[in-house]
Amino acid sequence: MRSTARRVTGATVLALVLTLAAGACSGSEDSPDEPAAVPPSATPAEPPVETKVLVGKLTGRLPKAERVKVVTEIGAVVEGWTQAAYVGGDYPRRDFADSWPGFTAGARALARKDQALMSNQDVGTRIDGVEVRRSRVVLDVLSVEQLARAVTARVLLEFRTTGSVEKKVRVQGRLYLTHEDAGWQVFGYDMTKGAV
Amino acid sequence: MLRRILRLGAIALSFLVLAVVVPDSAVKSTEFTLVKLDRADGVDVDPNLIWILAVGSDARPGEDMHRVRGDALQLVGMDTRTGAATAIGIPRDSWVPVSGHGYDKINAALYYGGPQLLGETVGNLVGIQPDYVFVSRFKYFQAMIDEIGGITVRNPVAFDDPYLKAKGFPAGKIHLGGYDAMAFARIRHNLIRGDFDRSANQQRVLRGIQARIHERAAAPGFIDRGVLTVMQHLSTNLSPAELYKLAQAVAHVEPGKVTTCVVQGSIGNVGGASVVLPFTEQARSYGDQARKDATIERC
Repeated sequence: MRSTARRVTGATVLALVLTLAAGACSGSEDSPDEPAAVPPSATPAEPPVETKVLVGKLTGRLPKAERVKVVTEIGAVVEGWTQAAYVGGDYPRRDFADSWPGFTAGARALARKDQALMSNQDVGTRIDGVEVRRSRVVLDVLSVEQLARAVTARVLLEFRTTGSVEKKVRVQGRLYLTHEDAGWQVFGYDMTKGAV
Repeated sequence: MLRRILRLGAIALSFLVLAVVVPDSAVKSTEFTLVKLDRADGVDVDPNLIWILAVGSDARPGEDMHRVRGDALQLVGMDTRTGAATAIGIPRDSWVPVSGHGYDKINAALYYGGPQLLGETVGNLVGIQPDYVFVSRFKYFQAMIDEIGGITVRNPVAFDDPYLKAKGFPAGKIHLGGYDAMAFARIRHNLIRGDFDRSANQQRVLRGIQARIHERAAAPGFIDRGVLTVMQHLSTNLSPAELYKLAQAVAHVEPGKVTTCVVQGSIGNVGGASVVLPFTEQARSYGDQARKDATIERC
């Protein structure tokens, strides 16, 4: 069965990029900017949960246009991971090998070793769906010469599983990203996962 | 029988304690929540095992800090796969071959050939070539310690210095601000084993710095501010992103997995100057132990 609240599609990520690039505000905990919302792939039956992406602590100066760019690009990377690892896919699901798009090869290898935490591999075969309850990403940005050079993404994702295992799960922690030839990539993480 | 009575008595006592501690166990309290959280962390830094030669320079204002003699030398290794780290202390007066300059004190390599030659010289002694050479003036070092809010060290023996710290440092667990951390790392006035003990104190300071970074790394912007501060004071060809990666690698070292050793030696005299004749086999042994996993089992 597909996840009931969210479906992983390229269109989801694309919609995110397009919407934000079209002028959605980048938010900041230090500024009154409104957070940018990631448009979900809608399920008609219930109101979808949006992923809020905002700028948290900004170190150095970063023009507004660059902030929007960072929110857009990194929002897409983080959303790509949470969708591939937790929210999307056909449940019951056994294969989590592609759960870390946007990670460097080394970080992917590390995450694979931690796959019970860095994906839903621990319960994948025992659930038939995932309903997102809360999704938020706060970006702490290191800017040098008015360009974002490194970002710490503080991630919070809460979802409920349905099927043999019914529980509310919280995934929370930090992803570390730098801009590589292939765009923003996750090179490290520090995450927790547990039942709420 | 006695044993049975004692056991029953113990069980009864346990219930009594529970009854006192949990006054109304029939009512479920929602005042507390206890849930198990699994945690995973890791950083992908190339290479996985990073070696940095940390050099304290005593260059005075206006002096090129790459053209003076390094005052503190620590070869630091970090294994980003395991969170282990090690520091190998090198006495600054170690009498060693310096490429192109015959034998000299090891810290003279900085004067002759800058960070590159110093890194190569220390690498030849230990058998591990550093990936990075980090040179810092003591003044900046102080500012960096203040920036991270000071450090805590465990000082095994009280010591002092009439010029740098007349009141001295007591034995035990002590908190050091920027100036005190600098003084703690530099004094050898009344340390019993002179430069060897001073090198061990430098390692205590390094442990303190790493523990502090590890402790505060989760604070939003902490690592970023550190990178920016380093960039303002550091001569480097590393990009901000590379510095950020290095900083995250430091933050992910587990303080409980840090090992430290100081290369020992005998005191000699060359041309009227006091030098340390390092135990080169010991230096190589440290290198051999640490090469694969940044861990030294035995000093």
